[in-house]
Amino acid sequence: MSEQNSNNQNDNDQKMLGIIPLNWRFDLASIPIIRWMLKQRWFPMIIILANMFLFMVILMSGVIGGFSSGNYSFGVMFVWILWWVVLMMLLVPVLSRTWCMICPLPSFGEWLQRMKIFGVNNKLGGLNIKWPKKLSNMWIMNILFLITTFFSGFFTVKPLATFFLLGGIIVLGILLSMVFEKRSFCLYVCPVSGFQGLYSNMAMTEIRVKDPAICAKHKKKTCVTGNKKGYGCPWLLQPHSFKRNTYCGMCLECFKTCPFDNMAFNIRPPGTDLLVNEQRGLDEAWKNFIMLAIAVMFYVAMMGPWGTLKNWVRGETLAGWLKFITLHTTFGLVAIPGTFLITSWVSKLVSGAKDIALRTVFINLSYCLIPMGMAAWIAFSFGFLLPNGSYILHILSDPFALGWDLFGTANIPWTPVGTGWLVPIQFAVLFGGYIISVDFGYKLCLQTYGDTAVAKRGFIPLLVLLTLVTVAFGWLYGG
Amino acid sequence: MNNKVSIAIVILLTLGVFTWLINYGWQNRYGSPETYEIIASEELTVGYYAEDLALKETDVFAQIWQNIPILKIVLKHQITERPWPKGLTPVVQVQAFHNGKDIYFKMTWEDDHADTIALIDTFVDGCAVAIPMDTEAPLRSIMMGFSSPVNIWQWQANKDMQYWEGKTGIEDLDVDFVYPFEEKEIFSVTVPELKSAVSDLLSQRIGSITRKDNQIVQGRGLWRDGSWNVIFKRSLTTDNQEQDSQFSGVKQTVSFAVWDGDQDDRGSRKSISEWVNLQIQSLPSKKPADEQALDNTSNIKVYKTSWIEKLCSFSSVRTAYGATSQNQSVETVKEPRVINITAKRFEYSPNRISVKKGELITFRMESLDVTHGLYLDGYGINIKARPGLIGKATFVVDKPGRFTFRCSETCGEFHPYMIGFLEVTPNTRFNLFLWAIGIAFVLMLGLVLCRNKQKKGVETNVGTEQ
Repeated sequence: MSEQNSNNQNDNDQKMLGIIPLNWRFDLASIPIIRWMLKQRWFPMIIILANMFLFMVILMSGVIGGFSSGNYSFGVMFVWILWWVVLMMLLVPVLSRTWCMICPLPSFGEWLQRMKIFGVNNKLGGLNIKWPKKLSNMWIMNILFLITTFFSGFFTVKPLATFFLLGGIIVLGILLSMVFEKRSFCLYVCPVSGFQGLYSNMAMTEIRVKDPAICAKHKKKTCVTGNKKGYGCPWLLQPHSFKRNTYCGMCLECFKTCPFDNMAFNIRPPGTDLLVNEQRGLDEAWKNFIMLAIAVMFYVAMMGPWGTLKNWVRGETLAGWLKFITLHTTFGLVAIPGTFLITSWVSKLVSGAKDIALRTVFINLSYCLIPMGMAAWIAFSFGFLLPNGSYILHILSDPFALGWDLFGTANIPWTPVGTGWLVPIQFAVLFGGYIISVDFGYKLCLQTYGDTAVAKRGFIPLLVLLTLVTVAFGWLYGG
Repeated sequence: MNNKVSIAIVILLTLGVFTWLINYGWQNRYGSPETYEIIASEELTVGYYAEDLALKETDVFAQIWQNIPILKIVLKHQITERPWPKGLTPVVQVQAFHNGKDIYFKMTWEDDHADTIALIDTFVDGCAVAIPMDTEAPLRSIMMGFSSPVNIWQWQANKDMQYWEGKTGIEDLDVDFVYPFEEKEIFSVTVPELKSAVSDLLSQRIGSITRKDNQIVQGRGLWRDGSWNVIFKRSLTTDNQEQDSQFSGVKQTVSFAVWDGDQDDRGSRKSISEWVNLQIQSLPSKKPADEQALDNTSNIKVYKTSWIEKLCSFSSVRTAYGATSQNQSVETVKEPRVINITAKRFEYSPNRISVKKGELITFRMESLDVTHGLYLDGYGINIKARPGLIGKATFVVDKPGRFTFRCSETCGEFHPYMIGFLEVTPNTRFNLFLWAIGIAFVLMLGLVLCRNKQKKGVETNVGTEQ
């Protein structure tokens, strides 16, 4: 008991960068009107419906747009400039998986299961088969997301290809919801879901229980089973014992089903979930590596000056495209994980910790790459937004490229904004990511190795790697 | 209904709708071509035939045309024009001959519908021949959008009907042309008197098209069996060398364009050809020595600075100088370092340029395919190069660091990613970044190593695990 208290005392000293206490929380749902809203059945469905309208326009523009230049396509610009940038720069880092809360893509499948849009019908339709246990991880999402990026030279520039991707996700969502239970598709298949889950560990919001003791006494566990007010967790989780954001789709059903109003929508310091040692695995580690690899490859192919690589990516020749796929896959699945494996091995070696498995070191330390990866993506997104953001004004007024001018902005010319500051902004973001990565890297070393002296030794190779990775990204973005 | 049957129906329906939509999108796709290749100039022989056509209806299909070889010319979108064209007239067949006095062209292309009436949102079919006025004009060019003046002969179906048949095609509009109480139109109010079905035009670049004072080209078109057949006729040479193209040598270049009214083609929105070389046979007025001289000049492929390029460069330089205050004082400084950049979809060459801070440089950009731009981040310089028209900007690189230059003219699907780097050394911004990382590295290492030993314990997320 006394050791427990001692540990708690240590934990209470835990601060991000030695400044921000990681146990600080503010429950947004403690504001009555917000709690009231979160408990209503029309919320977030009303946002999903509005979002669905928007995506219908995107899909229509994709079907009509054909091969027309992507920068004048509503679908291409909205998805790959606005949505992606907002997702990477705002939604995931700040609001966790809020996108999943309002995502319209799996809604068709979910409605077919429920046969209701707003109401509650816990007797779900479809075959309701349990998702195979062996596939209950991120591997399918990893592979699907990687495969999706093979086609980035098409999806990000051709309206019809964007339609194919989004429409394909909707279709797959419907098919799987007819066969498997609840949101199995979102949890284990959706290519957009995996990286959101991983990076939402960095988010500044979370859904958690207010008082675990209340949940412990509650035998019915309506957050899992559902009741008249709402569905049992569609994401197949146990909201009463949430510990990290990774797999919580923030659908808010637990707010509706909890009879004790025991759910909280917390604001918190970023990155606190990185230290939660639960459900960690190689699948999540590889998601990390793949995201880093994609950030590099996307930058090189799209924001770099190398025309040959662009021709490979856009599939000018089959041979070139296959070269790109090989290079990309090798880099993401072998080169980066290999480099990290060597670092982990050196870390274990210099730490002197013989009783800790290399696999544990490898998996645990990989989580410190999340802030770095997120920073790389945010910096990358600035490179999308600042030069190309003005296209949004055009496509808003002429969504189907039919010569419309709905809001009088169709003739606004392409206007790069603040691109002179692009590189310094990217450097600042990378620097921030580096500092946070290093901070959590050390904390993860402490967590993994247990002893401070051992952790210090084990941390040095990790620090070197993080520094080199940051310098490499810096060189890529502005060196 | 059985649950499994319902599920099967939903699945099949979903897949069916999705497949249908993809198929619809695929069938109705439009936009920039998948690949763009510079096509080598083709040759059209203009043979000598002692035949004079009066442009009667029968002349369009006269026996003479059976004897003249046909050149099939592949057309492509006029892709500098937005919105992108819906359709493309893929091929036009061209024939030409001369009789020592006049030159004739015949253009034939498939069109399933004859569009002869121009209304709001309804456009007419047409075709054109463009002939450069300057034999040294760059061969890589897009019709009506290059540096050298060009003589354009534009035939339009509505004008043809009006000129040859005296019809406007719109009966209701006749009242506009006739004063009340008049039985016949005696004074044309809104329709100028046509002297030909072909407009004889001059143009120098987009937006500069001008109707010539002397309309000297005649033409006639007939739509038959799903094809348009249009012939042009004009004298080989004229006295007005300033305004009329001349066919006095053995070689000349021309290009062709087709408008399909059905596909909303009009103005710059059309299908166009690359330049075609004319081989004009047996010119009695020219001596062999002169022919050789003309032959050499027409083959010039190295771009020479013309007065119009100088004019364009001058305006660009002014813009560039105006970009920074420091630049204004350097007009008297020694010659700038000229950096030649070629642009093609979706790449600049060189794609990474290194210069020293304070240098006076000139970006001289040439496009190898479609119109490209070059916008330089941080400097705000924006230049544009149409095929055959060099874009230039001269400026002092007074800001150190790596700056991206990117295409500012929509040039195809990968346009937003057409990028190059200008590195102005020393790259102080990157050096500063390296210093910041270095200092952070030392600080972090120092903090960790100097940290007091703590009790053994496991760091956890106390916020969620307490």
